[in-house]
Parts: sequence; C-alpha cells; structure tokens
Amino acid sequence: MFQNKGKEASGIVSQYDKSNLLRPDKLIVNMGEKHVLLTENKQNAETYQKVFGDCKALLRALLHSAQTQAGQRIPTENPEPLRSGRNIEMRFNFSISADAFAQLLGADQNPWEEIDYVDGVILSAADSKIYILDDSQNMYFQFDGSQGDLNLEHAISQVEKSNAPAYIFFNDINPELYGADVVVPAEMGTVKLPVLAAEKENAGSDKMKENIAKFFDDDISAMSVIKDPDGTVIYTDREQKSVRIDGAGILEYVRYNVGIPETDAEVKEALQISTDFINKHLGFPYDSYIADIEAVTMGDRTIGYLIKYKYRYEGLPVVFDSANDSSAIEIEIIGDQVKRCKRQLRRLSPKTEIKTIKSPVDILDILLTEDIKIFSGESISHINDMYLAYFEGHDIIPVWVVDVTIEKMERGIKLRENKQYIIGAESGVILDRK
Amino acid sequence: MSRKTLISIFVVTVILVFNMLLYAEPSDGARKGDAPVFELVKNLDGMKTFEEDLVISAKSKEDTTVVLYHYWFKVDEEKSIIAKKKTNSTGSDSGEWRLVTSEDATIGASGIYAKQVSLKIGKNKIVLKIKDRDGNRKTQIMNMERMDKEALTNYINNIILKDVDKDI
Repeated sequence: MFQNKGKEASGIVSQYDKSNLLRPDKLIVNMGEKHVLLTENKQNAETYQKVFGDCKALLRALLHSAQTQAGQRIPTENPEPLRSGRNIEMRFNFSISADAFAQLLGADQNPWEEIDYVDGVILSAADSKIYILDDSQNMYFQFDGSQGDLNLEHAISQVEKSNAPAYIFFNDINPELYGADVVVPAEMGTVKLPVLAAEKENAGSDKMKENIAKFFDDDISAMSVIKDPDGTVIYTDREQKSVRIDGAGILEYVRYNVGIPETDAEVKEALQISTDFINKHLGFPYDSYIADIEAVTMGDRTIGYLIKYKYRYEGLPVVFDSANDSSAIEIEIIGDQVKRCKRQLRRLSPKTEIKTIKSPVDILDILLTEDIKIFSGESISHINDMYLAYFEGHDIIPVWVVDVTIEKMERGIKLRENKQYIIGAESGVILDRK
Repeated sequence: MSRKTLISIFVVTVILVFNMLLYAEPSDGARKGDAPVFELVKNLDGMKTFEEDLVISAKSKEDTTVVLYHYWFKVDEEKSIIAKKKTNSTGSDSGEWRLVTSEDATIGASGIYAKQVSLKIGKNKIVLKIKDRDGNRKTQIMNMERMDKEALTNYINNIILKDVDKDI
C-alpha cells in the first residue's frame, strides 16, 4: 500500500514516498487475449494501488537480489509473445536512468551491468520472470523474480473479474503507423467525463504565510514583500532567496549564488534532495509522477539535474497548452542545493458539465484525414502515443493527446519532427498543436 | 473483309475493353475484383477460451464497410417437435444458431477496425461481411468456444472430493 502521510483535503501530500513517483505512464494487465489499462480513478484506486504496490515490491526484491546479469535478452521488435502471457506491464513516459530507477526503489545503485535506462517492465505471474525494457538497446532483459508472499496471478484474476473494458495495442494491427505505447480501449461505449473547475493552489489558504516562511528557513525577520500592480507578489530576503507568485498563482522560488560542485552531480542525490525539498515546501499532489530528468551541464561536466513532475486527476494526466509549456513542478538542483523550483498547480474539482468521449479510432480518423494534412502542411508518418488527459485551457476539459512524428518539406528538404496534438475528446476539434 | 469478320472483331474489342475497365488499377492499388484488404490481427477461428471478452481487430482501408454478426449456438434443453433444429458443425449437439448482435462500421483514415465481443458460454460464431469502396466483398467466419471456468472447476473438485471420499 501507499505510504504517503499527511494527505490534506486539497489532495496535497506532505510526506511523499518517492517510490510512488515511479508511477508508470501506463500500467497494463495482460491476460492472454485481453489487455486492461489500469487508471487510478475512484472506481479502480484500490486495484491500482494493489497492483502497483506488488510491482514495486517485486522490483525491490529483484534489486536486492544478487543478479547482475540478465538470463536472457529478448529483442523488442515483437513484444507480442510477452504480452500474450498473464503478466503486468509498466511503461514509463521517458527513459529513466537505471541509477535513478534503482534509487527511487530504495537501492543504492543500479545492479544490472547491461542496463542503462529503464523504459518499461513486465512482471510475469506464472514463472515470476521480470523483463526490464531498455529502448536505447531495443531489448528486454530477463531476470528471475521471486513473488514470496505476493501473488500476481491473484491480482490479475481480480482485474479479470472486474469486467473492465478491453484495450488493444494498435501496433499489433499496423506496426508501421503505430508505436508500442498506443494502447487504447477497443471500444469506448458511452464514456463520460466531467469538465473541471480550477482554483489557484494557494487561493484562500490561511497557511500561505507559513508556507512562504518555510522557503526562508522559517526566518521572516529580514523578508521584504513587493507587490506589483499586475497582481504579482515577490517575497525576498534581498540577499539569497526570493519567492515570486504571479497573478495566475504560479509560484517560483529562486536561490541566488549557488556554488558549482567540484565533482559530477549524481542523479540519486538530486532525486533525494528534490523529493525532500518538495515534501517540505508545499508538498506533492497525490497522483504525482516524474515526467523527465535532464542533466544540467557546464562544459563536459554534469553539475546538476532538472527534474520535472506532472500530476493526474482521477488517473488522467493534466496537460498544459503550448503557450505554457512546462510541467506542474520543475526543480533545478545544482550540486546539493535547490537553485530553482517552479509550481503551477491547481486545485481541481468536477463541475456539473459532462463531456461524452469519442473513441480513439474516431479521433485518429479525424487526425489522419487529408484535410488535416492540407491544413497543416504536415504529413503524420507515425503515431507514437495516445491517451486521455485533462487540458488546462480556458476550461479544464477532457482531451485526447496524440504524440506523432510528422514529415514536412522545408526549402526542398524533408524534415521529421515530433509533435503533440491535443484534440477535444467530445468535439474532435484540434485545440492545440505543439 | 466480310461482315461476319467485322462483327467478330467488334465483339472481341468490346470484351477486351470491358476487361480492361474491370481490372483497371485505381490509385490506392485496389482493383475491382480483388478481395478487400482486411487483415485480422489474429484469426480466432477454432479458439477455445475461458475469457468472455474478445477483441476482433484488423487493418483495413478507408471507406471499407464491415458488418459483424455474432451468433451463439443454443443447445436444446428439451427435444422439440415444433421448431426445425439444426446441428452444429461437428454434428454433436442439437440446437440452433441464434443471432446475439450485429454491428456495422465504416473504416476511417486510421485504417483500424476494432470491436469488442462478449462471448456466451458454448459455441460462438463471428461472421464479418466486408465490402471495400470498389464494391469488392469478402466474408470471414470464425468459430470459437467459450468454456465455463466455474463449471469445469466444480466438475474437477467433485472428482477430487469423490476420490477423497473413497480413500476415507
């Protein structure tokens, strides 16, 4: 079970277990002919937590076993034989370094000699084999797991009995056009989702002063407050730190004069510092996950890391428009200090307005028409991913997000580029393209 | 040239032109007279399963229409002299095929066909009637059987319990 402590009514968790930040982009239960994508919404929260908890426990046990080399290497060209078994599959939305992966699960270091990055994991119920996917090598690495007191088959059977809708991998149908991450409901039926209302994270909070003081080590004696006419408020000690909150509620902490470390920064330390800092300063939204980790370099040295977090509402990720292309929480660690931390979180709640959701096939039928090609001047050559999300525009509405590779001609040269289309889940209208 | 020869040449020319038109290749590579493109991800014909939900999925071409008929073989509980009964393909049971559902779909630009089917316990038959934009037709039939997991478990448990009773 989760070990998050201190969850407040706002959904913010003040003591976040960092292994929960490993929440996969997709948690899939493969049951032979049927596949189910688990979403952590009210209806499935208990099942999701049980399955995710079991996965983490099995991975922890593997990390602490003496296995350093894989028993078998399986190319990723055809994952179908793995998926046709009864197993649980985790797919991450970015390549997480094996060091960071191990550290988030409580291990000191990456024990696997052949693995640099983790893009996914498959945990087999029948034989307890664990397959680690490293996309940089296009390979699954097979290890011997041990279920101990856990019983993956029982968890899979529970999902099977729940009559959850079946999902399909579109790359099984057309691997030239669809990537391995495109796993969507075979049929939507009549799925409806609410439009959301959003409040600024700190709106009406009587703890605001207390929260700001924590950024200054609870010493506000030297703190100045500057209020701009546009609604921006800046808190500063005029020497080392400032906290800026703009009219839209976006909070940005900056520490000046951060020293450059003499040795290369390590990702596991950055993750620990980041988790501790956010836990102490305003906390994580309940369903947070790591969206990306980027190295900050100076010359050929890694001096720190930029870690990006996103969050979900009822299991669906909250995405921003192209004019505001950043994550919910971004934190920059240089050496062992936090140089910058930016938060743009909303307190979300359902409105009475309900949207009916178009099926993924309907959405792709719209996106892949000649009209779109003519209008955009771009030809979609590959669909990399597709998922339901909430889109922070004027209203917060359910959307389909489609990650694609496009081809276009510029000055006679054929260019390929990755883009993201955000399409109204009810209307089928393209709302944003970035 | 005789009139008879001229008529023969005319008839042969008409046949040749007709054939050329019939098999003229449209821009997308499909030809009148070809079977429609409809590639099932898995041909489930002959499958036996415990699972209720199955997904029928296929790669196809835009504007192809697909009508799915799901039939279930209802085994006779009692012999009836009123309705004319049919036997199933193996001829082992008597009963009749009943239509459970039918659904039609037109393939869009995605080229994807996907339908979820809930199998009933016993023999099921999925018939897909496919027609492409050129009017070419194809029928795909898949027979499959859903076994009753609970009934099988009870049956095995009963055998085990009988053996245990004998031992006691």
